[in-house]
Amino acid sequence: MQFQLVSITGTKYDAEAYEVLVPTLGGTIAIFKDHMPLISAAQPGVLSVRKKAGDPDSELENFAINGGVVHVDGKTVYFIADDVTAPDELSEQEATAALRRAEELVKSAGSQTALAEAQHLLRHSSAKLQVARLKKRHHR
Amino acid sequence: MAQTQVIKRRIRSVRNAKQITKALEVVAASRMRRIQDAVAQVRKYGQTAEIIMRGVAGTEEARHQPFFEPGSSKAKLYVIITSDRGQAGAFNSNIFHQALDGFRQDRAGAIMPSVIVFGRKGARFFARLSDINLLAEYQDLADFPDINVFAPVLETIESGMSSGEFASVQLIYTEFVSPLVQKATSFQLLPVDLSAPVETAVQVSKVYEFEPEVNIVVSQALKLYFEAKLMQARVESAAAEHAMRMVAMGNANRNASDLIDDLTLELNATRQAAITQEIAEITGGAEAMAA
Repeated sequence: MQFQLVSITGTKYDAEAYEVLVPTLGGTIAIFKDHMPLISAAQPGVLSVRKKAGDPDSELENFAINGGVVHVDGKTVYFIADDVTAPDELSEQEATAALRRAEELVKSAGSQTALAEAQHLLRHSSAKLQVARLKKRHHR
Repeated sequence: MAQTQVIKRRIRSVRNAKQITKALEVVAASRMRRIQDAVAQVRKYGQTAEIIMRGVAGTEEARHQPFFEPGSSKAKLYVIITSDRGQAGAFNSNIFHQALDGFRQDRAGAIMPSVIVFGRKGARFFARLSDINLLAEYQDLADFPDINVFAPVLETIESGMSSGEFASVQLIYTEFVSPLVQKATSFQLLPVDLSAPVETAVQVSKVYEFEPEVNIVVSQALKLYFEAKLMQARVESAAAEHAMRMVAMGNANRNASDLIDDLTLELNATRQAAITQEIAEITGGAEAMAA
């Protein structure tokens, strides 16, 4: 199964994959070869790719995403999102600071829309932090 | 001698202009190179968004959304991307021609076109037209802007389409074909046109599962599609603007060199004519004294 992960700053992943874990609005789904045609909206979170069948979880390739849309047609999986962050673009310190800021925003949000936006940002920041931590663990 | 003074002054001013054009050319070239890689990336994003959009648009569920079938009203919205600065050859006038062509067709069908324009040059031009409805203008847009700058435009498009205020949305921008070839293009953003050839060969099946719900997925996919296309239009326009400025300033620079050469010849000729005249006067005077 071919998997393409495209963000506005370029293609982040374009290769064979065995399994793709996508955080959709209805919960995380796993996509394998010959999945039925599907179009789904994602929420901010961690998208993971297992390249080969026997790979353990520690070999997963993780990306922090800010929503997006996944398109499956059986052979190819396309995922687009305006913001996709690969682990090597992240540092745990920065991610922690961003998470703190997002938490502040959630607390100080004045209106419903501001609150919804702040919560979106909070989920995105915590996904980034999670990806940054996963990277650290694997390098140990 | 007064004549030579005038020519000298002109040479000096042309030489200054030449230096300015040279500087502008170099700046434009470096900015174009910087944005060129982004063009390829954003194009890829736009193509992928289009693949997904085709998948969505081909399904039964989407067919009844206003975004995929022309509504009863005929009103059109134009999103036009121009530059903030001039001195880029025909960059802006090509775009204006493209837009005016569209307006002329609308006028034949008694339609009042609505316009959203990016760039100072375009804002000035379209503000002077009386028979259009200028909804918004944006200036000082970065070459590679933050995606959020398009949020108000997206809102206008979405609310206008779902309320039936607009039947279609045209995106007019300059396509960056290569550093030497740029083309003013009018792209039909909405309704999503499925008849156009697909750039990448993808088998699009007609039956899709939508998760969690078709309306949410369609609106999310549309948002990404609009963002992708607007971003692509902006980045391509920026690259094209710099490329055209580079070429225009290169030409201006060569013209200035030619002009300096011509003026220098003229200067020498007048100087020599003055000297010849002086000598003739002296010899004439000497002959008169001798006689």
